Amino acid sequence: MVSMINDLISALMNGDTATASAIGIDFLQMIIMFIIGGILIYLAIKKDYEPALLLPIGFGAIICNIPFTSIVTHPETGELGVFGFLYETTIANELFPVLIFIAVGAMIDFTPLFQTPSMLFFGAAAQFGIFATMLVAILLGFSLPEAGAIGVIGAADGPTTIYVANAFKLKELIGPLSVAAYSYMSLVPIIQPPVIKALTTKEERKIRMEFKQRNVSKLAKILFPIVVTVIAGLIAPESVALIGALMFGNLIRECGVLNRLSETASNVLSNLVTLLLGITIGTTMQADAFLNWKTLLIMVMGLVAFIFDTAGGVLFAKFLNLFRKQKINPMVGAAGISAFPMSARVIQKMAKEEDPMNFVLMQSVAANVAGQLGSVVAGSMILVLVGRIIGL
Amino acid sequence: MNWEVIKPTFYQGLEVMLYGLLGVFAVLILFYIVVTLLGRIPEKNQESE
Repeated sequence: MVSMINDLISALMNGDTATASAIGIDFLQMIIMFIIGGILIYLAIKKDYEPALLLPIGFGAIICNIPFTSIVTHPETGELGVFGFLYETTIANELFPVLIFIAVGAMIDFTPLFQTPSMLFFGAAAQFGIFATMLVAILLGFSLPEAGAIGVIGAADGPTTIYVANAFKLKELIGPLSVAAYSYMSLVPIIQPPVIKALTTKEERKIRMEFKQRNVSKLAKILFPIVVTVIAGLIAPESVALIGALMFGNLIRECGVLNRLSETASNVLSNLVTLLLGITIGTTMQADAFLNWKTLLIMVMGLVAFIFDTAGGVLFAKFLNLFRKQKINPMVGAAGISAFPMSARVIQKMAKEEDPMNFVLMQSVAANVAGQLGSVVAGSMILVLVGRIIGL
Repeated sequence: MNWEVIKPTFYQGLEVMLYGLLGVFAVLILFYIVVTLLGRIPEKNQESE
């Protein structure tokens, strides 16, 4: 910093305006990145927006923009610093997103899905946003892999977003993509209600749905992760890392003999990986790579993706209602995204606002769990289809 | 935005969208069948009853 100021003063004294303006721009970019980092930390602490991710990302954005720091790469020798090493050994090789999936799998209870299996279709319909956003991103000038990775923000699934971006070697976009994915995930209670209200009538929001509570056998819960992994793997082998990790986590949860491992995966592993993932991603947000029009567009596209996802789920439910005697509350379709359990809670809250005696929580939770499966499958589809086109 | 430049990528995107959505629905339909079949397995205590 001191040498930066010295260079600036000497450039000004020598009348070297080109050098002086270059140093001035660097200084300005650094300040902007400090402010962005500060905003993320503020949102994490004050607004409680995904604090486990946004706080480390915000702090990482600050420390990597301190001039002449060698935490990512040494400014003179180019050798990897601590966080450069962490990035190469934990994110670039897709280790952390996969570990996060084991932790997520250990936290998911698929029981609501067994009780209302038809909700699985909303987990597919709500992925419409991923593909629609991809098309919009292409129209805005992004390349196919970039557009695919941007669309995956709509999965409301941070690890999948990071995984896909990384598989397409989009290191410079991982920072903005992660910030967009995690920020909008925490904004689900703000984004979804107006979209749902715009697409449904008051009568539709009042629709009551029947729910029959029934027990699910332990054997079914154990077989489910194994069968799902095999099916997904046979259809799209590229999805095995993601689905396999998710289902492995779920298997250790449901098997009943690995409680300690299950607890470790859902607590210690999840916390440790989240901690290092956040700050490592934050340190990719170096000003020269972050401050450009692409970042701004990615933030806008993230919002578009969430809106399209919500609309996709709601409209699909309305479409199904054309053929059903027992109508589905179309709001439940919007819960088919991966933001669990936030989206299900939002839907139940909205249903209660319209009719205090309306309970659609179980159906919403089932759709939400289906959304977690659907988002991983959709991310894998992007990986497979785009990967084949670009020859990955 | 130059449409002639974007056109090939856009069509590739449409192809990804079509096959992607079909793929997601196909996989989740298979999951639906799996969940429905597995859901029929009776609970152990119910079996013994």
